[in-house]
Amino acid sequence: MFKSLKKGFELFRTHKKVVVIYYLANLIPGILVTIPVWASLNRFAGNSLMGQKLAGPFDMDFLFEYLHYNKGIFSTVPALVFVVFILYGFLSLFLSGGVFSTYHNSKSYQAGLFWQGAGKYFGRYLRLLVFVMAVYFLLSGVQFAVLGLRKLVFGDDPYQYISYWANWLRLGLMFLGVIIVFLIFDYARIDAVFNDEHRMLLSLWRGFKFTFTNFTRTFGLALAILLMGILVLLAYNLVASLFAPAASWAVVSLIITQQLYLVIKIGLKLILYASELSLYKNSLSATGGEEKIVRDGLVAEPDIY
Amino acid sequence: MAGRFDFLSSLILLISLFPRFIISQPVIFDTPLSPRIANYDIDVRLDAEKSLLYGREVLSWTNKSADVISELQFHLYLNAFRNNLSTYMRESGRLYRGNIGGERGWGYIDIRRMSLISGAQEVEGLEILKTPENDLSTHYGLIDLTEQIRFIQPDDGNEHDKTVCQVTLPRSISPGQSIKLYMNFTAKLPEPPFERTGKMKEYFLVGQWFPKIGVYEADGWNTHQFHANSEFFADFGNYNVFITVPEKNIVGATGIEVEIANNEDSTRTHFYYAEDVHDFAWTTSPDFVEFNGTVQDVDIRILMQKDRAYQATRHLEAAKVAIEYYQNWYGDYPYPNLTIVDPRRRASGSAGMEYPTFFTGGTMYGLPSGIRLVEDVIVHEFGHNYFYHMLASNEFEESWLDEGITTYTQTRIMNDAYGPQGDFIDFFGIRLNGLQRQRAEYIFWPDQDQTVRKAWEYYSGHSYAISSYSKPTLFLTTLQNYLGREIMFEIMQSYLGRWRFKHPQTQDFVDVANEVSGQNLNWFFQQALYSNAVLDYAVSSAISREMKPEKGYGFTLSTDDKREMVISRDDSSAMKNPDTSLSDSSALDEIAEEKILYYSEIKVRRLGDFVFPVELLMTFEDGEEIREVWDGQELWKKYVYIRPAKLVSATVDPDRKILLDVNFTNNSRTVEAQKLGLLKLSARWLFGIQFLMEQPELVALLSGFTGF
Repeated sequence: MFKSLKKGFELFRTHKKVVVIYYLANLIPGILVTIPVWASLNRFAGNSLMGQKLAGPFDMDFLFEYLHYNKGIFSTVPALVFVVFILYGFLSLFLSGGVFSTYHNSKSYQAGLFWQGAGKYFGRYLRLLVFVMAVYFLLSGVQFAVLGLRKLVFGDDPYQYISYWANWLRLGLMFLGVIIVFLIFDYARIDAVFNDEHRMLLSLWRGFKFTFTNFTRTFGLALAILLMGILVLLAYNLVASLFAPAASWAVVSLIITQQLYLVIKIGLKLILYASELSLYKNSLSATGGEEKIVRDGLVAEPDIY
Repeated sequence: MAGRFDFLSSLILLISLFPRFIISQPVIFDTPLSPRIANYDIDVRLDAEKSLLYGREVLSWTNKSADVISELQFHLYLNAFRNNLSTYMRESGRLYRGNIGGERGWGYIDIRRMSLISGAQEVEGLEILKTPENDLSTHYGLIDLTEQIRFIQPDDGNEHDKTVCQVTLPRSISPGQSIKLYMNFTAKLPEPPFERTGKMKEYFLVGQWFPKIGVYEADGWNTHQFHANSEFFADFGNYNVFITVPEKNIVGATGIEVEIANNEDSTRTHFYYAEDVHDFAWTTSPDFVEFNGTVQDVDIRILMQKDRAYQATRHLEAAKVAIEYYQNWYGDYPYPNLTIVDPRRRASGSAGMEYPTFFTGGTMYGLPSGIRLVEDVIVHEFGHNYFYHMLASNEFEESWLDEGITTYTQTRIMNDAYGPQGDFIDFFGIRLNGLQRQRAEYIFWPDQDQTVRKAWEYYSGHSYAISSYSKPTLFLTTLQNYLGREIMFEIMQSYLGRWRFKHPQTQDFVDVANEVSGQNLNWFFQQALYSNAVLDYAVSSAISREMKPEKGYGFTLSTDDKREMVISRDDSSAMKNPDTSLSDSSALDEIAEEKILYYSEIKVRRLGDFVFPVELLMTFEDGEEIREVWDGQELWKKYVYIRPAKLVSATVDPDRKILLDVNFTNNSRTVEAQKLGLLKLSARWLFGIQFLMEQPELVALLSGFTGF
């Protein structure tokens, strides 16, 4: 696992431009959703002292007033957010084809390889997504099993602490389920690239099999990145809290810190992808699994691993 | 003699029949605190499985009016839950706190027998209750009135509503005369608890459960039907109540527990006694865990549910805060004890309800300490021991007098004890004060109703809540800021002192406020209480520009530092400049040559109908601040300044004293746009969106989880 993580860092380092692509893909939709909010804020408080005061501690009175006097914004922005989230999901999926493709086939970032890979695998990944969502819904059902078990053991009217902890258990299991679904999805996508697989059900099965047969490593890898993410988030909160004063330098510093955090967060995701890819390859090599690497006419550098 | 013999023999008989108590009438207060008009002796037995109450009641009632009274009126509140045709059910749509009325069991109350006790008036109700039903007539000369009972619907004429009844007496009651009535009743409690009374499994919160006499006022009986948006109104008295429940049950009730007796049928009878109260409620459950504490000579008893017993300390601490603040601020809580009940899970319909010396709280397992719901509810409900209980205003007709004043005091206490920021919520960086919460509710619907209305005549339940809780909290806080904290304290203390154990009305509060403040505040109360006028002052325009040297015919001002000119709507054609005088134009040229002057113009508007004097603060680039006071009468007012520094901003009510103002954001205006805060807010929004987009696992988790 640590070897894969190390390889992942190396791959990430040699493909730094991918971060820029991902970051821009994240930033632009974000700005798109922010523009109407900015406009309404500006219209409502742009010439009020509130416009300055909000640079300091948040004013709850302002929040309620904004909600009340800007009802129009709430009929458009949630819909916009929803659409942007869906679109970003697809965009992310599209880019992941490029990421896995270029990580697999090239020792350094090559734009042509990246975009060709993104285009090549997008259709397959979309099909895969449909199957994965089915798995997700199945796993979501685990929470109902907890509810059913609670009812079976404690009846219809359990003490409140039983319901409370059962709910946390449900949430924990759901979280575990979501992590596993994403792991399966990741390894299925990797499999599709590795084997140039067109049959996504087969890739899903291989991803599923790989995730569980190497569970300590696949889960450990994800957990390691998750922990790193939490540490980075804590560090962000610590740093961001330094920029509470209502001053220009503080606001600018906060914005820089926020965006820096997002770059690191995206970097961690890419490190995870690279590490997973490395783990997949190493595991297949170790078990003597046959690797069918198809260059498929892509301009590729020799593998570095 | 015969009468005395009957009395003695019946006493002997009673003692032999009811050996469970050797009763001597307890006394709490040496001197009565209240007029003690309606006194009740009740013996009630709970059939826990059937949710039935079998009760016998002796009412001793005194005609304190100047009228000769020939009929009595009674509340039969539980009949609100009798069927879906009652006025309550019609008004509420059978919905209360997520429960559906009658879903698992309707409630009702039937008077099986009502009799006038014609003989032995001097006998205590306690003694009468000990007499077997069949022997009552023999001993006490009962005149049966059961056939005389008629249901009336004084509020809406809904013939299906059986929450008020009237009975004609065989003989009239003269002023000052007392009567005794004997009643035998059966009541069924709704399940789950609805509108603060009812049953959930083995938990019972028993409120509004016995035939209760109305209040006779100068213009007759005041006995309203049970409505969806109203609470109660009653006269003070003493209560002797025997409550028989399964022996495993713990009981809590209004007043003090005098004695517990074990019965042969696996039940126990708890004898409670209360003096100078106007209602009696009780609770019972085998699942209660009891905790006790004392603060300022008040014994606090907390009945927690087993699954939330770990929160007992939190409840106790909140109760201590409430008692200490109320006693220190408003005066003595005269009762020796206080009982706080934690309602059972799935019995939220009984949560957060006040009764004399007894109330229910509201919490849930796992409630974080930073979300001060427990504290908020306890401080509020305890406050009702003052405003509702000791000052027994009519909750049907003037709900702001109890709910509004209590909530106002509650926000003050919460802020003092847990503030200044986040006194209600201080959790994960979110800080919300109770006052902000009240204002948040108010600003969304500030004008649906005037404050003072009959509870069932408000536009909606929401409007009732805003008019009864939020708006009074805000206008009383506004008044406090206007008059000063100390004067407001004096007003509240005088109001309490003058009206303890009476039935104050809105005008009584206004009179006290006028008298104590030494001002005629009718202009304020007229708007706050009897209109739906909205208060919104705004700075609509603020400009500041460098002055050019005058050309042509013009006028200028003296060299005096003060150069304010004021134009108001009623005289906008003339520029008034009370502090300065006109001089020739050469003076301006001289000034202009010496230093740059700025012409600053501010327009302030009254956007709502509520008129209130406001302060204004003008800030200039050189740091100078000018404060003005505008009486706020006109629709707008213009302020003009010619100063050596440019205007930065103008603010109405800069210290946010006027909590009634529905829009603080428009209270200020800057000459230059102020974007820094908006930039920060937008950046946070952008960051949140970016973060969530990059966190599909979290989105999947939240969208898939069915919630707590």
